[in-house]
Amino acid sequence: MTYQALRLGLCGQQLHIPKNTIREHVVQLTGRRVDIVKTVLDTAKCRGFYLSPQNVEHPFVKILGRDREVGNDVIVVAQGMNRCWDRFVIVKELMHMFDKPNEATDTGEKFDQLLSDFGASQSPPSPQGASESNAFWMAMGALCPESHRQPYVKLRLENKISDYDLALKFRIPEQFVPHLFHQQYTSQVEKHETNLT
Amino acid sequence: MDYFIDFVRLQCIAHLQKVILKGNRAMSQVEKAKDRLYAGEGLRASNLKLFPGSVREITPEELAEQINKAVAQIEAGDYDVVE
Repeated sequence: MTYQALRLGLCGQQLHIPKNTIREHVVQLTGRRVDIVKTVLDTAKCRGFYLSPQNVEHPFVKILGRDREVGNDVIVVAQGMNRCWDRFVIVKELMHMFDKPNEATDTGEKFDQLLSDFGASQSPPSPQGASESNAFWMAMGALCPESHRQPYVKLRLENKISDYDLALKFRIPEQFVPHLFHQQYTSQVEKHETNLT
Repeated sequence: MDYFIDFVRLQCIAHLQKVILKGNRAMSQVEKAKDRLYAGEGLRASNLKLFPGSVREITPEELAEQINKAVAQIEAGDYDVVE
């Protein structure tokens, strides 16, 4: 129940939880290290990715760390995004450190399936694709503690606060504000708390 | 005779196009990424996940190209560490 432990650990936090606070909690709970780096990516196509390389002799692994060991993860984030996007992409990718073994993209076939899940595929997503959606909701739950979200539910319903203002308050991309106040938000977030990892 | 030579030329061009297309398919971005990520000499990734961009429908080739590009850039030292 490590995600539940994460949310419990974050519930006493202020509204703008620093990404490094979440990172420290995830590292502590999973026992894995993670490097976060920025490089050039076309943000129309990809804003970032999470990678768990096991070949410590590979140049990609070697350049990132002097004392790297198997099990260290890497999050690659696109350069040039604003702070809200940066934070959201990093935290969503951090949530993949909780992935279950059957959700891991650890073969070429599963990689093919994952890429197809992002396209126009009409079929149900693979376990790898489903974990992308899970990580999204888990990130929302980590970044927006319920105690801070609740006071705004009624205000938004009565149009007393705009999505733009809410995005500024929670420091999340504006396009995700409707998700934060979706009627299934609580169930989407909480189902991952009981999802044993 | 000229007609025959043109015919042979066209056949040759068609054959070359097939060879080139086949070659491109073999070296597609997806294949390159799979090689980079999962081959014995590659990263031997035990997991990979993606955050898509603003374009709603993206092809596997386009996504794989971004991964290939980013990994190559990092290997070349072209990255900044987020502290």
